[in-house]
Amino acid sequence: MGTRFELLIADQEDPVRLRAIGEEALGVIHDEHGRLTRFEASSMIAQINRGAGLHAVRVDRELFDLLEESEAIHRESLGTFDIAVGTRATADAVSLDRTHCTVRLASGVQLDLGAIAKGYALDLAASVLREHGVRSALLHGGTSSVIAIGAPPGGLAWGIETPGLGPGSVALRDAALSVSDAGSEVGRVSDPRTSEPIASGWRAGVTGPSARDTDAWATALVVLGASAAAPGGEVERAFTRRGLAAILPELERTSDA
Amino acid sequence: MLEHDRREFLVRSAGGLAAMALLPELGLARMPSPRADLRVGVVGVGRHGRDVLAEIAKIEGATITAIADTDERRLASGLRRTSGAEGFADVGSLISAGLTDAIVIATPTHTHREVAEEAFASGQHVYVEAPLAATLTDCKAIAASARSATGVIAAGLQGRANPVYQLARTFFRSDSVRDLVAMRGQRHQKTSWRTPASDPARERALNWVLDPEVSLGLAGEWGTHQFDVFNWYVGRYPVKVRGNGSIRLHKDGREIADTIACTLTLDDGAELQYSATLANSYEGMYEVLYGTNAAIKLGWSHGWMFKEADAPTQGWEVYANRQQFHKDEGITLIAGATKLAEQGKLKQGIGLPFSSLYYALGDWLAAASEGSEAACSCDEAARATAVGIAANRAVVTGEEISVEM
Repeated sequence: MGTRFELLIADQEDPVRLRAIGEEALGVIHDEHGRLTRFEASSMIAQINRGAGLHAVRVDRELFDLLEESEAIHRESLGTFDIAVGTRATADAVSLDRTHCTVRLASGVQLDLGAIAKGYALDLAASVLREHGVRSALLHGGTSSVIAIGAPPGGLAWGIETPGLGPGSVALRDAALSVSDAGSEVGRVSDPRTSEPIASGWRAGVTGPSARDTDAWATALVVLGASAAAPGGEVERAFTRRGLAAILPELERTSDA
Repeated sequence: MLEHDRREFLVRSAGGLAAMALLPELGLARMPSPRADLRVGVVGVGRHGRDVLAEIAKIEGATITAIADTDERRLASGLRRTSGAEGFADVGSLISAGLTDAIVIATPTHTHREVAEEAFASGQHVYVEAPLAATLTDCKAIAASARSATGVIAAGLQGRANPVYQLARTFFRSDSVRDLVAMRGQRHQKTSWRTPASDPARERALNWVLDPEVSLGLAGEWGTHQFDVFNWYVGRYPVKVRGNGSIRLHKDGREIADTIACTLTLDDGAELQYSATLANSYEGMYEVLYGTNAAIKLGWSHGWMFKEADAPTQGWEVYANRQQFHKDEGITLIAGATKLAEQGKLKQGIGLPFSSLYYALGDWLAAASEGSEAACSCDEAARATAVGIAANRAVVTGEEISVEM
């Protein structure tokens, strides 16, 4: 995933056991990198991409569920989050077959999970920590997505600073936060619907129960820009359904996840 | 000729010339593609078993149809890594279900014999992970059973199916390296080597590699894979081994050394120096064979040759891809150089695109569908494991140990 992941476990327990748990969690992230990167020929995503326009590729249930969820977010976000690189000229650009657990890409379409893989890997790592009884931990990928488990010793929540998204910090407890940034130059991020570069300087953050969702939606909000704040729309309904809260420069800070 | 064209010409020439010397042996690098569809079961889906699931999923013509594990959590997690396999608690139930043509055994080393004998008896194709077993008695028993099995049997010593290792071996066996001077190998990785258990009752079973009653330690569990590379290249086996070990980092009550060093001696006096540690990751895992004309360094996904100044030039090296290592310059050994050059992808082909495990499993599945022999037999795995067992014994006792087999 081309970035650094870090993990802090603050539990006051047997450090030998905690180290083993931490290694297991980071091992999961390493595995997901190997499965989800499109830049290594041995990954599952590269295998799917090689079949574009040729044949369906069978994948495991875990990956199928991730792809299905990515497509759901694509629809909910009005196309502003998209794992498909290339044109979606036809409705079957990305075809998922749950019965046979296969994915088929139309010719010219490639998958790139760069806007969701980090959050997804963090979710899996956090579930390893929780499964082994960890009650206080913070883990992040590239500082743009973070998951808080419980609170730091003696505190009520982990305080995460989000420069450019208002003063103070976001209080995070048993929740995830992702931030996305269009950068200081026009052209760093493009709108997947039009391939047009979006305005520079726009930032967005999202909190919620799943880093997979916050990672994907932070990207979508940067593309949606100010229109994301429109009440009563598809985006608001998706946020309510997924338990998400937006942190946009013009909006009031949401301090509780 | 434009500069760009000239470079392209040189790259293509390098690929073509190099391949003239290498193509005969490259034929041994069987690419994973079974001719017939094979239904595969995996017994043991811990961390390594999950790696097995991931690699088989990439092999066209192979489908994971069943998995087995005694741990319910691991079984459930493993099933999520398949596209619809059935789960079982043990190998017997998996075999009885009749869902598989081939079985991978990825259980703890000391359990291999019981599982392997049951799998061999079923008539299915079987891949047994290495080390082959934790005792010489079990190694010999597995090797004997494998010889009378009707399916295609392979042992998981991955170097023998690795295209880079196959290619480099052609150089070693030719005049490029000349007479063997010495050998060195290491595996350095910073890890506790401990598996967390959510259920304390499972703690010991899951951490069998740290249990001195059943574990072969770093020399056996890791070293065996690398000792086999030297066995295969040199065609001879160590006859005695000295070793020592200590706990340098993980002072957590364990008895298994986290850092070891061994000296293995061949019958002609040549020596192999081997070190392994869980306390430092510098330079990772590699093997080096030093000859009077050149040294060959093998890094699992990459291979290099370092020629001596007085070694004869064979022509193709002039244009070969090179890599600097401090004051030494290594010639990169590239599998499939001609094909890559034709496609203009010679640069991308420097490292293997897939893991060694992928090639080993693919070789076995291809052999199974053809009815031919796999790259590594249980007899060879038993020999390599015997070296690993002796090396571990030398580390534990601090005494010189003779290698039996």
